[in-house]
Amino acid sequence: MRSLARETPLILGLALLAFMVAVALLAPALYPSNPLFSNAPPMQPPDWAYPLGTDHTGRDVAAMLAWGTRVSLLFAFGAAGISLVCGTVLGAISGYFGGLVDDVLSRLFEMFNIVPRLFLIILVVAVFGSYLWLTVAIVGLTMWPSNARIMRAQVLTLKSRGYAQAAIVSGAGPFTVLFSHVVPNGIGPVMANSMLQMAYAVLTEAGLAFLGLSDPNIASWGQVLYWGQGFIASAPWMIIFPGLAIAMLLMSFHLIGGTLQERLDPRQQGAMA
Amino acid sequence: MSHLLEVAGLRIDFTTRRGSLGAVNDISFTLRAGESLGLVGESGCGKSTTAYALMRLLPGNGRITAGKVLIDGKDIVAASEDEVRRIRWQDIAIVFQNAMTALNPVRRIGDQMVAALTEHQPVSRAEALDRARAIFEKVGLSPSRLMNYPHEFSGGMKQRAVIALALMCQPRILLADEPTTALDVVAQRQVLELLAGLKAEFGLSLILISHDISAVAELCDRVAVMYAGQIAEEGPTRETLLNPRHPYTRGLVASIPSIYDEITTLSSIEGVPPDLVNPPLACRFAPRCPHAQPICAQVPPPMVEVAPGRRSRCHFATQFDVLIAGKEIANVPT
Amino acid sequence: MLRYLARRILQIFPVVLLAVMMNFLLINLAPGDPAVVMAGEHAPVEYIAELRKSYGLDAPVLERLGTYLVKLMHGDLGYSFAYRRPVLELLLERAQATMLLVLISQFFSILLGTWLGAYAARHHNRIADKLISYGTILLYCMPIFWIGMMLIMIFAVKLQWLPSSGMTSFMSFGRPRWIDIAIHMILPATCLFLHTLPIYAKLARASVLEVAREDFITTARAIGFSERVVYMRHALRNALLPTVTVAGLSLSALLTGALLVETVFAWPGLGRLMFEAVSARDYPVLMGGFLFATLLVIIGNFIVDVIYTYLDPRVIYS
Repeated sequence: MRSLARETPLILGLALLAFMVAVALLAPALYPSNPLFSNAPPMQPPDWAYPLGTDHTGRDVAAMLAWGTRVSLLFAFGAAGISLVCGTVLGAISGYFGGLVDDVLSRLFEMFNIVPRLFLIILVVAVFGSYLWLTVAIVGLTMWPSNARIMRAQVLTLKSRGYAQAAIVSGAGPFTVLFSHVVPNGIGPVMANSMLQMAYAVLTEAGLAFLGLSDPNIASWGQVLYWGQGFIASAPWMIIFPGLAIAMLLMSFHLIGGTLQERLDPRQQGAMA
Repeated sequence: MSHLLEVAGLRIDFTTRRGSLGAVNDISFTLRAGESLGLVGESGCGKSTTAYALMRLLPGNGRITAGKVLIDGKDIVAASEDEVRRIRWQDIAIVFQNAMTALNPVRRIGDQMVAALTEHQPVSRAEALDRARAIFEKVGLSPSRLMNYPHEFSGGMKQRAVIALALMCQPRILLADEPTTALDVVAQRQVLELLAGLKAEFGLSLILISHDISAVAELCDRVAVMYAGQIAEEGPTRETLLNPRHPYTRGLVASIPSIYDEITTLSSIEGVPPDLVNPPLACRFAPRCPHAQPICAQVPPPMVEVAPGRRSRCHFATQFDVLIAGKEIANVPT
Repeated sequence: MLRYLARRILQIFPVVLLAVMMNFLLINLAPGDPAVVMAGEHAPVEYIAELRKSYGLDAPVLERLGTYLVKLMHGDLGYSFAYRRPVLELLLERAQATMLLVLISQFFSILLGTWLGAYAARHHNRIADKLISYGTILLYCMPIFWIGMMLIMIFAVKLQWLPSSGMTSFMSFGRPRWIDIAIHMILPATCLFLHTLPIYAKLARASVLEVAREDFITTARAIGFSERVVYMRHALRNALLPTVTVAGLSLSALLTGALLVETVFAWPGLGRLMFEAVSARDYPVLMGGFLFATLLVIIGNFIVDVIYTYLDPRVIYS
């Protein structure tokens, strides 16, 4: 009984994400040369040749943004993936075994939640250097506590269910029970949270680049914004378009994640029935 | 003597995903000042919906689609939102089913009572507080606990506090929607005794909604038995329950061990109430009625007056003894 | 109450210790000389040598950690050579500007966000609700520093109404100092306000919707209170509880937002200091800033907890 209007947010979100993925995949075909080479007149406002204009050194903003899509998606999926794995494993162990393990891990989740993440990430990247993969890893490693907390709560309610008990009685080891019976059934809310984490990862990348902490040899959305800062008055297209790109990608994650969350919330389901 | 409350031809529909649900269908009854009326029936029969409609408190998907609710001659159904708000709590107040959650958890009980009174009457906070103290004593609570929060009260105390809140504006009509279901047996007794005492003392006009027939028998002058959104039978409590004129009343009474000592047989009604999205076209009780005749599935029974002040919605209300005796019925109504 | 407070204060230490350990770990894991990391890249050679001696950087790890902890406990967060001042002094000075910005913007954000959310809930599924819901999501998806640059583009460059950076002007044109600061604060505060507004609006909407289903709301309606009173006085008060909780939990996100906003508007707070320290590779300031921000979040959380116990009488101090 779900009408199309009810599905609009999900469809819109998936369409936006599909568009972004397509741009990322097609970037090498659309703009074969290195987007960081200057081969256009500088400070061109948007026109037919350069639909998003050019920057102060004559680089095509559209090319940089197209290639930047790859960086943003790498951050989204890479960092959220790391966070998903760490969070799920640690949260599941904490919830399943309880006792001292749970006490220690829960405390750790709490403490990690309090620490201001961007301050820590800035510090690490400043000390170690702005390598792309290192930054992805650090962003991922600072995000896992919320996944862990959700997974822990899921395991606590699911481990007493029939199928888990049946598996235990049939002699399966604790890790088998946990990761082949309990976790797959409880992963839903963690996935919904992961969509929001992807949005956060993209924002963090942009923020770091904006602070001058991204690899200057890679074109990314935040990097273009960083360069554009000095040209707010003379080249507003350097600011407007990367921001819109970020907002669009974030919107897709929020629309998909919001729908997931709504579907998974038992109370919302009750209201729909 | 004019009626304090008059309900005529009331119909309430709920919009659901499966279509329109006629929760209440053509209900009429009256209440005189000082009188008490019990609304009984199984859950889902529309008794609580009726009560909510008297205050125009239906949930968003419910609507009054026909009929009148006259309080002192003023029609609640046609009144504006502001008029209804003035009538609420002043003319008609309600004691909700679940006292545990009916009070705001983050405000002191005394404050909630004071706010209710000052909303309607031009009194100072001190005067309102005096009144709250007096009422607290009346319902058997210590006035010193007025400044407590609801979570500091036990279940029985909370129900008393909810009753006290309802009495704050001295309403002319008090609705009590299953006031004892959430309580343990001892507290149930105490609350019933409290209501009986208040009724005697203030001459309160009371409508008690309950599935507990013994509570109604004890407290109410008259009873209306509801089934599937309609009143099946209505009359003076004792007469109606001892000598029913509708098979449903008979079944309902029989399913209770003993109200008055006279009835001792134990039987219950087979089957379940009908789906109100597609109710039976003729008699709504016919599918479950042990005495159903061919006509019951064909013609909707009218409400007939079987004696002064007694009404029944059964084709055989006037020949009820014959019907239940299973004898040949002489002149079948058509 | 006192015992509760004491226990809460004791809970602060593990978190601070965690942040300290992270700092210490970084110093020791960093490529190159740990002493350089501790001193910052601008430090003179003699200072680095002295640091190496005082920390005993050839000593075992545990001993070095001990030395580090003792120094921290004396409030010694190191020395910034970029500013030629002790780090703690610098942080305390800059924290004032940040606090001013954060407190003012959050005051309006919580107030208006909660009101918007409650208004949307009251008109659930109607046009106002849809507008507010989609508007807040849209706003939430915009990077805060981008919002900042757009504000500058519109109000400072195009319209030339407001200054785009700094906290005070060189020439005050005879204006009192606080007015000068207020004028400079409008854009950054608006930016931070817009950044957190959706969080509070979304939260208030969800919790008011949930509270609206509760029985005591029906009671309030039955008593005859107007819809406005029912929502604003009865539902909102109860719905505020999750708002307060989230306000506490999102303190670190708030500091993150402040960091970026201060960078855009050159607001001389902690965040701008961090930005400047990044450019100067002034590691002591970065590490001190991280510790300091952690401490601010903990203290903020603590204050929020106290507010919560005031708002919800059901909370027992145990």
